[in-house]
Amino acid sequence: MSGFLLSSADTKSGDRRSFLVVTWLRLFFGAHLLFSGGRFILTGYVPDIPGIGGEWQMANAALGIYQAVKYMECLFGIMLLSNRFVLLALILEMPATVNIFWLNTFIVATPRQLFTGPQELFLNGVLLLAYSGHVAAAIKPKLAPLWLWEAPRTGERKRPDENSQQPTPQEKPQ
Amino acid sequence: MTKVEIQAVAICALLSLAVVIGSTGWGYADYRPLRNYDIFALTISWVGFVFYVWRGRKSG
Repeated sequence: MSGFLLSSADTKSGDRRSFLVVTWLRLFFGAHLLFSGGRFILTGYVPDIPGIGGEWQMANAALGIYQAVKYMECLFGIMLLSNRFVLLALILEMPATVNIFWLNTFIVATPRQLFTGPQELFLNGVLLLAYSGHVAAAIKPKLAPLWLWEAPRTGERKRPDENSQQPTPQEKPQ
Repeated sequence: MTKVEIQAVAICALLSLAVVIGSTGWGYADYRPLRNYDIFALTISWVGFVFYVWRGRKSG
């Protein structure tokens, strides 16, 4: 379809532009997470959140969830910055992102938080969308079971002798 | 720089501006200086961006 709308030169240019912008976003979000998690690990810094949002945060800290999230943020930040297991980091960070978005946008809702809450969801959401082609089967309505270790490898550089395409298990007739 | 790289720089510059507005409260909340948090993330992202542009040119 894209070949029908764009020439191969346009597609190549678009790919390069998109790659550079996604890379900028990946590095920004990775550094953002590394700083947030690393600051807590090194200094124990906890931001002062007003109202019921602060009470929720303190309850999380009492349960140990807040600390776990900060250590995970640090790890996911390293994964994004080193360009290793990027999709896994983005998927695992999403629950914390949704929490931050909800807390900042609807609970705390001060002018600055109305900006930073959606910003967090934008960063994680756009990056997840950018890499979601690797899990495109997630939006297929009907799938046959496929164990992780039996999945075809995608997104990796192909050898010259791998040009013939084999049907994937989810495409086989049931 | 190629046209595509200039377009990518423009998009990332707009994203950086959004980060600065969000962090400082410029125009919508009480002003505060850009946090170390955002300075760190912006520095890493731009240094990385320049690296990837350089590497792309080197590999042709």
